[in-house]
Amino acid sequence: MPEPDVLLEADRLCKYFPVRTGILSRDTVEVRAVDGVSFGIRKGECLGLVGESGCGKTTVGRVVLALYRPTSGHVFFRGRDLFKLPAKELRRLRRRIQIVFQDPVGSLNPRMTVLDIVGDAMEVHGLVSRQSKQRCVQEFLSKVGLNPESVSRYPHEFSGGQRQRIGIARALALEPDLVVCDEAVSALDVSVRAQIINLLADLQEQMGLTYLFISHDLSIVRYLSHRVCVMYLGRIVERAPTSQLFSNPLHPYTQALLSAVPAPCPRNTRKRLLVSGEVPSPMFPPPGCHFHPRCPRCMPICREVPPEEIKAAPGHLVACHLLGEP
Amino acid sequence: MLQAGMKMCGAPPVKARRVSGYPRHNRNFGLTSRICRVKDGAWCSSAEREVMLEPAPLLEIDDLRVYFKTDEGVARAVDGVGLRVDSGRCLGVVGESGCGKSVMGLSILGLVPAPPGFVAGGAVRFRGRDLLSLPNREMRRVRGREIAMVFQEPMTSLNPVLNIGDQIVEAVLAHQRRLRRREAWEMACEALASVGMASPEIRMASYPHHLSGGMKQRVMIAMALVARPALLIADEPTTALDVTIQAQILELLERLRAEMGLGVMLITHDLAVVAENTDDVVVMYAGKLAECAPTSRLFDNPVHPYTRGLLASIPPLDGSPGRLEAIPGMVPRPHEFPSGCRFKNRCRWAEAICDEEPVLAPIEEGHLVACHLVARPALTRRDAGQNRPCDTGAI
Repeated sequence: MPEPDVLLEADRLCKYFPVRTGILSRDTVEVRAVDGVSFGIRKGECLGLVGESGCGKTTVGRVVLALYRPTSGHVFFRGRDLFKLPAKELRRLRRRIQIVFQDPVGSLNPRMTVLDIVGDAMEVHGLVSRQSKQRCVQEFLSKVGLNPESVSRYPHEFSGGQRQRIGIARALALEPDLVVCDEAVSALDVSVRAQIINLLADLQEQMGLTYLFISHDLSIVRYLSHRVCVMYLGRIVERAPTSQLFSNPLHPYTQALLSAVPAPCPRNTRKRLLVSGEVPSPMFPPPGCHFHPRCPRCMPICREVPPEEIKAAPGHLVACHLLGEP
Repeated sequence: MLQAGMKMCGAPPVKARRVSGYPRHNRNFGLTSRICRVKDGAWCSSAEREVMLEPAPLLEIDDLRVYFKTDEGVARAVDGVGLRVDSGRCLGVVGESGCGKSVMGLSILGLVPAPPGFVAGGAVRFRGRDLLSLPNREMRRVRGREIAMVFQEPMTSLNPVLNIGDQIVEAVLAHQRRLRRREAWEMACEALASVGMASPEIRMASYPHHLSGGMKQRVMIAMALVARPALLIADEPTTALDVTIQAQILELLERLRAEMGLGVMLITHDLAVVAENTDDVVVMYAGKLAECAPTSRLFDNPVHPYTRGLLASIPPLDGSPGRLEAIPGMVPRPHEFPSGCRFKNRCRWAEAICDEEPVLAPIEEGHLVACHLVARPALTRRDAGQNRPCDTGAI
């Protein structure tokens, strides 16, 4: 059973997508987008989920939002299994988990005014009446730093950063407990990105929000999250409190990922630990440890046995055979 | 001669061949750039550089103005930009989107769509030759053969219905018509190998959708370098890529630069990318240069409030807490640039004098800043250092 202060718990989540291949599409191959991922998010916490593209971060986010049904595994929200709830109750619960998408252009309907974009969900969930809708929407707009007078404007009249603020207002309008930020700041310019990061941090403080922050940008994850999970090819390879993960990364993949981040310092003398190659296709993941074809410290056992998570320090778990050695 | 040159780029790099293997041009470019770097990255004085490099730099842009006619008025996307790129050196061009970096890059090769765009003034000189006044026919010989470009989105830059081989071979044959197809194919293969593509013969038959983003970017770079250009303009080459792949691509560019004596103009919005991979940096804001300096000096002592704002917007990698000092507001649209200093509306040090246009003036050797407040104590070196999310030992 999940701990009491855990808001959301994912238990051995798997999500496989069938892909038809071969002549006349007769063969089915499974893409193992998420392959046995477990984690918990405590109330008021920001959990960072890091990995390269194609490692299944977004799929995890969508399963948590109950947008995908997992192939196996459970998601407990406040101790209740999302996928065993009756449809009606699941719908009620959905307002508690909201998402901010990456693309501020694609995620807003160009034909709807800001009033409808932010206010419709409130209306659907019966949080506001038609009369009070405008006032409530204005309140949320000023909360995210937009001019409340702009309710009747359309998305194209806003800049990228402002559109992302609309997206955040829409997510917050239902007063959720958990907000999934799926690469929420990746498409923004540096200075605007800093504004949005500050906004997210402020809102978390003011409203006691819990974030699942999905990103490939380690510096942002480091700045916002309390704990970080590193994903590789559908599995979590390392998880630790943020400061520990960044000061003492143990998994070779985490080490490589960290050393690949460019630092804004020209006299950087740290040695690059370059991983060769790219993330293999999740259709045909390598046997054993998924990372072994790119791993600089690969051992024979890595090619055969998938590593179990080993506790390296309190709260610091690593799935690597290197740590299993004495 | 060319084939000899192509062989040079296969791994492992052979240093001895570096100069002798150069095709056509480039007799002393590689050498001089090496002399320049002997001083361990130190910036030579301009007088020294005049002596060491030949008088004409590889690329020189002088007071370039590229405007666009729009319904809402004339958009001055690039408005009086001057810079130079030397062989074997890498110039970083930094700025947010809408600052005119890409338009500047495109205008070098005459690729700005006209109309609505037009060059309102200035000069682009490549080895002393003015590119802006070149007739179309001759411009075509410059494109790809002498100056090549890599674009941001490898996904949309490749033709989805042709395989990789055909696309590179086409590029080869466009520059060397007399080559046989078979020879062109071999050159394409070698070019793919030189950018670190495994089993290039097999890859030649793949289509763009078979490849990942990083592989596609490698193909783009191979294609750009297949005619052995002297200058590469890389417009956000790694923005769409993962960090590990970004590191690979940047390393690749660095290697090719050293091997081929290539001059590189790296256009990016990421100051961190610039810090580790360039020799000099220019910071652009709203179509103008805000600051330019040798890379290490810019990061040691950023002076222009925009440069400092950009640096402060990056979350510190050492994990030190505290709010990010974001620059308020955003880049104005190009037909709404304010008069006087274009940054004044977002600048927290703005004063009455900022209504006048600042001039790009040197504050020390090789370090130019366009800001009225350079003389003010608020912008001293010590204060600037506090804004710098640099010097971290953690990672």
